[in-house]
Amino acid sequence: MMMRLISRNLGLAILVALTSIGSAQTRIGIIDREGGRKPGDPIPIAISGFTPEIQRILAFDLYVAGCKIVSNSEADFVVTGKYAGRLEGYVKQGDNYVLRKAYNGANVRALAHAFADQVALLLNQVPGVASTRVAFKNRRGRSGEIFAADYDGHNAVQLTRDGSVVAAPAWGLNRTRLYYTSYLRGNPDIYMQEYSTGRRATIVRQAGSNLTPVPSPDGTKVAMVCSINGHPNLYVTDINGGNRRQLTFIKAGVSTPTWSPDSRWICYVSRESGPARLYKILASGGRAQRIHTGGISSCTEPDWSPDGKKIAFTTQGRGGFTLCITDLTTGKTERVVSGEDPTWAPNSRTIMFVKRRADQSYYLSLLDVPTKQVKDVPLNLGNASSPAWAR
Amino acid sequence: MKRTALAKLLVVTLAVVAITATGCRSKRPDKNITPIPGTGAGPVNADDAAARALEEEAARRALAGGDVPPVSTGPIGTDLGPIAPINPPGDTSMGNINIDTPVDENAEIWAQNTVYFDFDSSVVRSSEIYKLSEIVNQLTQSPNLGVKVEGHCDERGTEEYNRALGERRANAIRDHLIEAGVGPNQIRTLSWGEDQPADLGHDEAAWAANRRAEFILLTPKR
Repeated sequence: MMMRLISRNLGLAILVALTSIGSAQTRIGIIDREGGRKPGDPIPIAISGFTPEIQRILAFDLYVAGCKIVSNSEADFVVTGKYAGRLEGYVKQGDNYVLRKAYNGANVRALAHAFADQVALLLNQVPGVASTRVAFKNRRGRSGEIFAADYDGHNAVQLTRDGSVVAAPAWGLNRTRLYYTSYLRGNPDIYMQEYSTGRRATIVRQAGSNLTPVPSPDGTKVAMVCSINGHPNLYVTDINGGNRRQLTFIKAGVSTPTWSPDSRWICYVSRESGPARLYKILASGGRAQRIHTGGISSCTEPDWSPDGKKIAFTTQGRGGFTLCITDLTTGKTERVVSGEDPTWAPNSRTIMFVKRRADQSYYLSLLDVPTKQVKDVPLNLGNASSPAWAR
Repeated sequence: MKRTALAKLLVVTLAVVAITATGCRSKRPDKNITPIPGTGAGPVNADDAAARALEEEAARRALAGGDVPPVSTGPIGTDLGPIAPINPPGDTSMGNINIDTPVDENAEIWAQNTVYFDFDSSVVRSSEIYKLSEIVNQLTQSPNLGVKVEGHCDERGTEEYNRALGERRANAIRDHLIEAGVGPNQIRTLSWGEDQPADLGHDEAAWAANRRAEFILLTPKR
């Protein structure tokens, strides 16, 4: 009788474990026992049981997602699993399985990234970024080309081969197109290029500068800076470059536009009041408004978060460059970490930005905003800058 | 005795459970597995260190470009489409020769006239203004000639900030030229930002040499 009971319970436990693999699409009853962890503290996790390669991928992805990799005994969560053609992954909190997933149909990096994203979603309630891609510029000597790669630098693809100067790529139309400036024909002109086919067209070529094209999130317009009338000002065209309209009329010039996620507003940098500050203007035109940055000036290269709540930008001071984030709901601005040219991930939590080596060449790094954890892109991508997160 | 019976029963139970579980899994395999779309089946990297070295090498080669094949032959934009015809011509009142007017460029003739700037400044220093007079003389005497003013920066700024700064430098020069009598339609401006340093060094001397505006003589194509 007793033996029967034991065996039945044992069998039941195993059955439950097996059948619930993959059923936990999101969080299943995480017990809240954060043990005094404050908001912004990294989540202590342990990772075990995987091949060294998967272990390394998960450790990187989850560090960027705001975790701290510790031993099993110190961990709030243990990430474990195995790989044999397909990847099985589990997250345990104490003795409870809070996530069970299995993946196949792709190479091991993609499987590990997919699992890492699921773990990040479970722990942060915000999607992970491990399966996303970025575009960036790679400079060699006096010319540069545009590349796209996984967010950790793997699977790089070269998108231009012009032997010319290029600048500031931006994704558009659901990541199917890239917009950028190239000096290919002796002038900084604006091009759009289909990501999958490489076909491209010039959309603005006017004497002077045609810079920093940024497609609107709704895929209908492109914001850019052109100096058609002698001074660099903000223009908007339709998505293919037609119907160009001038939005600002400032002699001091403007630079580096970024869209609000609802595609109504464009934030940009202007020196109309002396130092470089942030402004916003309706894409339909009208009166520009200051975006207050808590007394921080010399603002450049703002990037509006996809959730609309924050603007990240660079400020330049005597101590070099600092990444700042203005919270549009509280109006507060925070200096976050030293670096420049931020781009938000689709999850509005992670930022990719640029750091400089001793020889002033650039490389890409990642920031988890709540924990302020920074991790450099592990592959050496050369002199890499101007990152644009595909979102 | 009792122990053996218990062990036997456990083994049997486990076997049954395993069979049942396998049955469960094979019946609905798809529900339990998340396929990753769009990536296709890739190789399983048995030797981790070797795989990583390979990938590093591939990435390095991809970035080296040139004669070495890239890691992945991505779409390369060679198919230059036409200039969007909807572009209205630019207003030339503030300078800027029509960009597609065929001209010959001569970068040597005014190479000694390069104007240098202070850090983060687009103000033409009074000590540099004399370099403009030769250019002004030639352009006012020959209205069919033009000049391309190219603004440059040192590397101590963010990239796009520097592109804007280089343009402010070119525009400041343009304003001086116009004030001195050069026709606005004889002048083209553009900024290279920090992308075309004159000196590839990383010290004060290199930076000073890179904060500049260069002049290129434009003559109509014969």
